[in-house]
Amino acid sequence: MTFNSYVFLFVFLPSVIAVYSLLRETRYVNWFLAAASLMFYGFAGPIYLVPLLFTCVFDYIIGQLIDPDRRNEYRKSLFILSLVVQLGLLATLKYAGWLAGVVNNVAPWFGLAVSLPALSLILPPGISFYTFHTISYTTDIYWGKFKPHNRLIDYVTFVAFFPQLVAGPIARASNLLPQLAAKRPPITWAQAESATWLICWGLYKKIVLADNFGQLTALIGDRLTPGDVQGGMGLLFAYAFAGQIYCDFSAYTDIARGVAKLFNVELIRNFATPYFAASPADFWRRWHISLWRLVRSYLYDPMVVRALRKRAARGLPISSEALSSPVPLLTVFVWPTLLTMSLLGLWHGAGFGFVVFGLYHGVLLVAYRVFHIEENIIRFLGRRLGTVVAIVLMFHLVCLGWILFRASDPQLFPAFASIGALMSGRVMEWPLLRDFGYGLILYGLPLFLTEPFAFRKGKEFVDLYDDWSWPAKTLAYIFVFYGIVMLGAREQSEFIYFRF
Amino acid sequence: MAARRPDDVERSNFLTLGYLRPEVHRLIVKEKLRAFGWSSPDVIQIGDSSGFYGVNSDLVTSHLDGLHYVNLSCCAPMGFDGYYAVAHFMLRRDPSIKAVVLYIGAFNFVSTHPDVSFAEPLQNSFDSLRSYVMPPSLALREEILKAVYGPSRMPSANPELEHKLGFIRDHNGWLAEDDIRLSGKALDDYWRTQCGPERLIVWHDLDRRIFDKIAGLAALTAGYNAKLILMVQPLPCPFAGETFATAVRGLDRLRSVYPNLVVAPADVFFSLPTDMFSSFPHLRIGGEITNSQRVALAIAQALGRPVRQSGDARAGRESTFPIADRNTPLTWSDDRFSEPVWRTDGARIVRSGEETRITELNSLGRHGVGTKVERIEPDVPYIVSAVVKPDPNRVFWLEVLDTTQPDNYGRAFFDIDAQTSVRFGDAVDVDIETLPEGWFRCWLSMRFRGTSMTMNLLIGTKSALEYVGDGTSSIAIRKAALRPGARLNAND
Repeated sequence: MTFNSYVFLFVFLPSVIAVYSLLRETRYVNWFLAAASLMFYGFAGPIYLVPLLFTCVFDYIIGQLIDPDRRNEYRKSLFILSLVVQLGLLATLKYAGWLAGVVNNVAPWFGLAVSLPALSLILPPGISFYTFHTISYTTDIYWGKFKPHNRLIDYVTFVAFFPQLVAGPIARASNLLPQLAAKRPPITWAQAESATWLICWGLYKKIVLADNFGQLTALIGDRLTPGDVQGGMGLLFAYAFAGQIYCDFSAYTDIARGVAKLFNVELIRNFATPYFAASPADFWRRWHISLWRLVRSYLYDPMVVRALRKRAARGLPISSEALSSPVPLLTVFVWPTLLTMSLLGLWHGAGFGFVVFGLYHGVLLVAYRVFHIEENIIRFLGRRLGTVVAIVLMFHLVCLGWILFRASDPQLFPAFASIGALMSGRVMEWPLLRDFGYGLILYGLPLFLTEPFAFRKGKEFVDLYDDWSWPAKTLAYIFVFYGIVMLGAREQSEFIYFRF
Repeated sequence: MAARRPDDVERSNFLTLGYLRPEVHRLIVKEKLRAFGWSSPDVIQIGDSSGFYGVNSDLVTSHLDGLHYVNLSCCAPMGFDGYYAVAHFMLRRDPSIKAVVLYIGAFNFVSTHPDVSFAEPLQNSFDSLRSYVMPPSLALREEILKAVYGPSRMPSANPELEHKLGFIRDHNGWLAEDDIRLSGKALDDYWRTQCGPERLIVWHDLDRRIFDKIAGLAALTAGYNAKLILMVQPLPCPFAGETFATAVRGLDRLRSVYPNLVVAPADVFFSLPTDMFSSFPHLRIGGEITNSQRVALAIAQALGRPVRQSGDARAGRESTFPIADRNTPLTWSDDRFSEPVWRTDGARIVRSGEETRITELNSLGRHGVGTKVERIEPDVPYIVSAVVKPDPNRVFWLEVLDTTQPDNYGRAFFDIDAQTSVRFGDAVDVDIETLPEGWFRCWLSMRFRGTSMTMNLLIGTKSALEYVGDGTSSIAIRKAALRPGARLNAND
C-alpha cells in the first residue's frame, strides 16, 4: 500500500482518521495507531512484520536495561549488543547476498577456494529507516540524552508510525516519542488545511513530476549504449534522474508530514531546496536532512571528537590552524568524512555503485574544504555572481553523483563518455535533444518556478502555503488537481526510497 | 474548455499517454472498443494475437448468413481478465450478442502469459465502478496532452501505427499478420527453439488456472444468454504429451457444467504445416483465409445457422491469396538499371559485367534508385522483387508506391545478415530467398489501386531511410522484377 494508491487515500487513511478521532482521548489510541501502522506495513507481506516487531521489542528491552539511572554494570555491553543485533539484522537482510558474491569473486585472487551460498533474502521495506529509529532510541538513552519510555505500546507506535515508517523522515526518539506518548488535542482547521496541502502537493510531485521524470530517465537510459555515444546524453540522464529522485523523495516526505499532521504529530522537514546548495556541506544540510543529522551525530562527530581527544592527549594542538596541515587534516577530517560518506552511500543499497556514490560525495566534501572552492569562487566573481556560479557548479557535481547512483553497469561508461564528447564539441542528434530536452523542461518547469522562490524565502515551497491568500490557495489546488488528472503518470510506481 | 459529452471509452483512463512512450497494444484495444463498442455485433471475438491476426472478420461475416462478426482480440498481455473485461464491456452494451468466440493460442494451456501488464488497467477502465466516476474532463486529456507535448511526441504519433489502426477500423478488428519475417538459418533456428530439435512439441505441465478463467467467461456469457465458443490456434508442429489429452478432458468437464460452452473442434488441438506460420502463435498472412472459414463453420454449428460457402466472392478480392512460382510469368523486369529508366537519389550506379552496384553518396537524404512501372492491373496483388547483395553495415529497403494514390504504399527492409525482413504500410507479404553465389531475392507483395507504380530500391539502416551517406556503402543488384501473386514460393 503506497501513499499514492487509491486504497490508501480513499480507504485506509479516512478509516484510520475516523477511528482515531473516536479514540483520541482514550488510553487505547496508541494501541489503535500501532495496529493500523502494523496493518499498513503488513500489507506488503505479513512476514515483514517479524523483523519489525523483533527490532521494536528487542531495543525496547535494551533501552530499559541501559538507562544510566539503573547503573547496570553491563550497560556498555548491552548497548553494543543492541547495535550488533540491529545492524547485523540489517546487514544480513540487506547485504548478505551481495557480500557473499563479493567474497566469492575476490577469494580466488588470494588463492582461496571459497564458495559462499548465493543468499537471496527478501528485503523488508524500510528496514534501513526503522532500524535507525530504534538505534537512535538506544543511543540517546545510553548517552543520557533521553529517558527510556515505560509504555511499550507508545514505543511500538513510535517505531512503526505509518507515515514515516517506510521512507522517513528518520525521527529521533527525543522528538517523536514524546509527541506520540502525550495526549494530543484535536487538530485545528488551519492544521487540517496545512496537512491537506502537504498531501496534495506531495501527490502532485510524485504522480506528475517524479514518475514522469522517471519514465524520461528510463527512456534516456535506453540510449546510453556503448556503440552509440551521443554527446551530452549522460547529462540529460543526470538531469532527469535529479528531478526524479528529488521529487520522489521529497513527495514522500511531504505526504508523510501531511498525514502525520492529521494526527497532530509534527515530523521534521527532510529537504530545504537542496539543488540550491553552493557546496557539498551545504548540500547535505539540505538533502535528506534527517539521515544526515543522524549520521553526523552518531558517526561523524564521535569520530572527529575521538580524533581531537587523541591529539589533545598527546599534547598536539587542535586549533583550526593546526588542523589545516596535512596529517591532522587527514586524521581529524578526511578519514572520518570518507568513512562516513562511504557508509552513507552503502546505506542506500548493496552494491559498489552506492559505495562509490558515497565516496564521491566524501571526496567533494574534502576537496571543497581543502581548496576553499566556494569561498574562492565568490572571492573571484563577487558575492552575487559567485553564489550563482557556485550553485550551478554544485548542482552539476551532484548530477554526476546521480549518474553513479542510478546508472546500471553497462550505462556508466556511455554516460560519462557522452559528457566527455559534449565537452569536445559533439552534441547528440537534434531530434533526441529536442524531444528529451522538451520533456525535461516540461516537467522541470514547476520546479524552476517554485524552488527559487522557496530558496529566497529560506523554506520549502510546500511550507509557503500558510502565507498565501485564499485566491492563491484556490488556484494552487486547481493547478495540482488538473496537473494530476491530465499529466499524472498512469502507472503507479513505488517510491524510490522504499528500496533502502 | 467547451463542455462535451464523452463516451465511456473516451472518458476512460486506459491510455497512459506518457511522454514519448509508445503503447501500441493499449491503442489497439482502445481503438477497437471505440470503433466497435456500439456497432451491435452478433458475434464478438476475444483473445490474444493468434486470433487478432488469424481470423478475418469480413471473411467470417461473409460465411455467416446475416450475422455481423467483430474481432476484438489483441494480445496476450491483456490476460484472461482483460479478455473478460472486453467481453463484459460489449455484452453490457449489446445484450443481443449471440456468441463470444474465445480464440487463444495453445501456449495458454501451459503458462498464463508472464506479462499481463494491462489486464488490471483494462478492468479498471472498462469493467469496474471506477469507469463510471471518471470526471468528464478526462475525455479531453488526449487533446490537451497533444497541445502540451506536441503532436509528434504522442504515443500514437507514428504513421505506421496510424495506418494499422485505420486497417483495423476498416476490417472489423482484424489486422493482417506483420511479424518480423525470418528466413534461411534464422528461420530454422527459430523453429528448432520453438518446437524442439525433433520439431515435435512436447508439453508436460498443464496450467490448470486456465479452466477457472474459461469457466468465468462461460458464466459471464451464460448470464447474457450467449454461447462461449472456445477455439485454439493450430500448432505449427506435431505434438505429443499427456498435457494435451488432460486439457481436453478438463474442457469436457467444463462443458458438462456450462451448457453454453462450445469447444471447436471437440479434440481442441491440431497442427498445420510449419510453413503456414510466421511465428509460433501466428498464422502467416494468407493462412487466415481457411482459418476464418473454420471459425465461421464453428459459429454456425454452435448457433444452428447455415453457412454460406462462397465467401470469397462476397468478401471481395482481398480474400484471394495467389501463390506465385517459377511458372508465373513476369509482368515486368529489368537488369540494366540504366538511366533514364532508372533515376538515382543520393547514389551512383556503377556497372561491372553482370553486376550493377548502387553506391550511396555523402549527401543527406535517401540513397538508391527508382523507376516507374506502367500498365499494371488494379486490385491485383503483385510481387515486387530484387536480387541483391548488400554491404554488411547496411540493409536493403524495397519501397513501392501507387503512383496515383500516394497513401497506397508498401515498404520493407531486408537485413540479409540477420535473415530478417519487416514490412510496413500496405505490403501484404515479404520474404528473403537465398540464391547461389551469395545472392538473395528480396520481395514484397502488394495490391495497387491504380494502374502504375513506382519502385524504389534503397540502401538504408534498420531504422532510417534518410541519413548522411558515407560515400562507400553499396548494394550489388542483379535483377528487379514484377509478377502477379501475393507470395513467391520458388526461384526462377
